[in-house]
Amino acid sequence: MSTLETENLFCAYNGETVLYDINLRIEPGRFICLLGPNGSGKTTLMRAFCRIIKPVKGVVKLDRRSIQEYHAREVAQKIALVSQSNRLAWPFTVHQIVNMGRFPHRGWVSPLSHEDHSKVEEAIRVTGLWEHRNRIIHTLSGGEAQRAMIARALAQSPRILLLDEPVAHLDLKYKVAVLDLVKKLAVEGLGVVVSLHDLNLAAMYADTMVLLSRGRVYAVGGPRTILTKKNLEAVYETEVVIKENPENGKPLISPVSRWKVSPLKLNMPQ
Amino acid sequence: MARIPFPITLVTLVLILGLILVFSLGLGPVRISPYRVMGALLSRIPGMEEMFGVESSIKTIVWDFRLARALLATLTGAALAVSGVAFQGLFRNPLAEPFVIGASSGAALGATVAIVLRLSLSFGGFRPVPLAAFTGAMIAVGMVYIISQTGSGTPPAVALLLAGTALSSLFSAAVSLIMALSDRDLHQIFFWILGSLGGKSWPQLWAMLPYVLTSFILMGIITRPLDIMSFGEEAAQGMGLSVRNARFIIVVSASLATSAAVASTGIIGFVGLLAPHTARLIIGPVHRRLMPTAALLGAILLVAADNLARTVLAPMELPVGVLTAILGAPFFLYLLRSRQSVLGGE
Repeated sequence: MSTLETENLFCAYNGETVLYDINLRIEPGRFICLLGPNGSGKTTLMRAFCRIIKPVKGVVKLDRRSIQEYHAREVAQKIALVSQSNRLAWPFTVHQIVNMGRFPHRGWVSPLSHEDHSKVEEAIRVTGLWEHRNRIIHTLSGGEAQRAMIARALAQSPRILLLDEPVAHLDLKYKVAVLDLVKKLAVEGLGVVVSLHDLNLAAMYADTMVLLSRGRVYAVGGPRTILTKKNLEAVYETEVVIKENPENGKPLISPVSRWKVSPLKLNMPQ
Repeated sequence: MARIPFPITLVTLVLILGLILVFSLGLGPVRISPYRVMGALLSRIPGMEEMFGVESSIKTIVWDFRLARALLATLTGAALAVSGVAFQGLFRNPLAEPFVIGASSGAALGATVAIVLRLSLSFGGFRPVPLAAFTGAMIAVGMVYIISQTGSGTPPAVALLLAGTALSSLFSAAVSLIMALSDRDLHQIFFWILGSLGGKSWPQLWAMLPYVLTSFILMGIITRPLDIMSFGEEAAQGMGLSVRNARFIIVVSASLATSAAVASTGIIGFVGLLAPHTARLIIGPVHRRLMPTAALLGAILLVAADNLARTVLAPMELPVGVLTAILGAPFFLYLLRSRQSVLGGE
């Protein structure tokens, strides 16, 4: 089991600071949701977590050691990222893509071992893609393609799985299918960090929520303490109503529009 | 789509290459039957000198005049094909090709400078002209890479093609300028730059060999990184690839292959486009299988093109680059048209 933590983390792009003083701890077996408006720093934080960008100040620590001290492959053996855009340059099949997940364990030239192949097969089966394994990724539906990317990440045998907006373009069925899968992985002991725009989905799945606002952590806690009218209206700058989901008692959120149809205009000529 | 198994593909392509080479060695002012070509080839093996009863004049023609050229076409075709694969993988773009992105012109400029200055430093088997060509190709690729970068992510194809075209023009202009200023070497540079295998023999073959072999070894190492890079550089970094190292070795190996080809045969365009794409259709995009398949197809393509170049207007000989352009340029336009989406990048 691995833990990932940040200490006073600051990140910047071209001199412009986008993350300020982030102190977080990712523990195994927890489903952590990153929430916050566009540009609040969710993606940047994901990138910093897996060493794609280097912090300007502070550290990201993997098992109490700065992530910068690890080799790229050592990091990828423990942390896997599924990023937002997954456009592949060439028409690989699902199987070929999931094979690539073994790269951190095999490196540039050594051939895949028996163990590698069984990990790959397991990842494909867990994500329910076995019958699609020889299909070309571009011919799959959005939900299947997203699951293929998750399968590739799982083939890395990570301790921590980072998913950046994994369900953004999926319909309801696949949103639930993908997040159910991720929840199952968390319950089985993986540390999971998912950024989501959909607050209701987040409420359904998250153990812990991290609400980001303009590059800062605005609040951390369980769904009930984070998804309050006060927090959301402050961070999203939009009026919301919050009710209780009769199904599971979790908060149910809807934005409120102040645009009103004048009653007079509804008198349409017959 | 069901694919032909990889070993069968390789064996088939090797056989086709062998056949076309034997056929190629028989072509020319003196026609030689495939049987006698084989006899002449095998006659160098100790103990088989007289086995096939081939006249010594035929042996001389095959060994001293035709074999080196055929092997040169083989290696050049393979080198152009693998550098096409590597550039396409590096830029994540199906249109990248040593000629299109300016690597060939960079190599040509380097070689021209070396010829005019009569450079003579060489490191072991690494002769000065290919070495200068390699430097030129590296500079060209580095410049295209830097210019076409748009912050992060994949360079849009438009940026890549425009940068390549602009640099190509610049380098070609520099070559023309050097040619104009040094009429002493005009003839030599002119004939070499046309992209022809005519008059090429063992010295050119030995000069390119160390470069080609080095690049082939490097190409073998970078196949898996090229797979990972198809996710984009950032995602590749997240998957544990140290992108900086991979990028560097890819650029070095592709530049080595390009410059080896350019230094010995001039600028031959579009082989690096035709061979990799045909190979992808046959064997799929996984680079471990794609690389050797493309190399063999490139070799077959160039040997066949050279056969045509020697025979269509015989006794006159066409530069083989003319033929590959006639085949390749329409294919390039077709790719451009059918893959409109790649033009905008991401």
